[in-house]
Amino acid sequence: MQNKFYILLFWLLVAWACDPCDDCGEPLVYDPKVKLVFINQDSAAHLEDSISRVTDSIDNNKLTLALLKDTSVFFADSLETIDSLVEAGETEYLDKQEALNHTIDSLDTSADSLSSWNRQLNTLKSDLNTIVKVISDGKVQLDEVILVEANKQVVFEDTLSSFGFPLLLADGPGVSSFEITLADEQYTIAFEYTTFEEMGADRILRVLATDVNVTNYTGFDSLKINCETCLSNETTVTVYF
Amino acid sequence: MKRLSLYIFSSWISLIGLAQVADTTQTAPSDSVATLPVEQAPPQLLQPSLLWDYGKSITTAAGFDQKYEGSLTLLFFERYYLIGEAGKASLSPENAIENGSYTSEGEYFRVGGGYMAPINATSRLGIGVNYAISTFEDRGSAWIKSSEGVQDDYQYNFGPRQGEARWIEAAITSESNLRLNKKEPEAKINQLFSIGFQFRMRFMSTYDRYSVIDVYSVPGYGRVVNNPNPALNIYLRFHPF
Repeated sequence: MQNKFYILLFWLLVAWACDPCDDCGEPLVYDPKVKLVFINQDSAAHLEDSISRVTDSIDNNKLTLALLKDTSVFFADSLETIDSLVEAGETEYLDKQEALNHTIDSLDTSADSLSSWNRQLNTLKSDLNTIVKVISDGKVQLDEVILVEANKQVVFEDTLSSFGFPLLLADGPGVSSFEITLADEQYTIAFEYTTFEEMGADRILRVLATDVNVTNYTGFDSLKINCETCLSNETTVTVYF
Repeated sequence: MKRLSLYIFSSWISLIGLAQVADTTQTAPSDSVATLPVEQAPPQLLQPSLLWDYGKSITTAAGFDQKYEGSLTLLFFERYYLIGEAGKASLSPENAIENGSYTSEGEYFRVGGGYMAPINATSRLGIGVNYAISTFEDRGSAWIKSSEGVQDDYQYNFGPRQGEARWIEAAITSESNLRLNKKEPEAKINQLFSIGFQFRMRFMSTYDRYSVIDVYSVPGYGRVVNNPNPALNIYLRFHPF
């Protein structure tokens, strides 16, 4: 009887292991996508100019600061001489002693102010560099994206450095056009591609898009595609505006 | 759970068969003591028998894949056999397409031969080779749902596709007479039926192939991704003569 139990147990374990999946037959939730990166080229160039001017101001301030410090040291040496004369009883130098003290105080005050201004300029330069980096990374917030052929809105809620634009699952050649609102400006871009079905080793049928080309765009200064023969999910289109 | 019940039921049927073999083995010595030695009769030239694969019928009755299989065996000189088998199946493996459905249905035939030796008064062990051919038709669908909700669901349909597959099998058989009348071991009814199992190793030779979604299941062979493909059949044999 014990042997029969083991045979039955073995049989059930084999049956359990060979049982098909429970969630088979459910549709695959998926869109082929092409990645878009938005670079605000005009703003970046403008900021680069500002950073350059701020850098020049900082350098000029440094030179002026050095001159002020040298002058202050020179007057301090003269003051030591006048101090020794006044101590020796030559009271006619008292006026000059007071004038020199006043001048040295003014020079030190100016140097402190200049140092403080330079620190503020350095902070400003650092902030501008951060903004330029953000722009160069393409981090933007898209106000609205419309997939024209389907007349449907594609929702991107967050500020991102890249956006996956869904392509229509056409049979064969496909076209997907988008109307984009970004910083209150209107842009359009249209893609042409070829779709094909592929069964993966995981027994999931997918529709993939390849040979993605931009057939038309408006509003953008220029654009660049990393690969025109790749699968859509490996294709990145960088647009400059 | 339904599938699990099927396995438990088929296991129970198999265990009954094993119990029959065990009983036969235990009672054989007492029979030999009780009977006087007699002259051995010459082996019969031909013993035809019909075979019913009740394992497949149980699968069908349980509401899963539809499978029917039977065969005619010609046993020569109580040792050498020729076999012709015919079957019909409608297979719908759930994980053929994870995001869709797949059906393959058709008929298959096997012819073969081998050697079957008695291991005691009521049990036999055999080994043989079969050549099989299946003509079938398969079809299916796959579904993709838009992750962004910007387009209608995409459906990919294929078939019906006509196909043919050929393969060879190595088979090991074990069977034992069913003792339906235990009080009279020599009763005619105890010679009419035997129960057993057959372990097959199937080696695919050729089958019609298709792009995108290839043939997944062949009636009589099973999943073509498995090559060789093992199988276990449980059957009831009827000896009319």
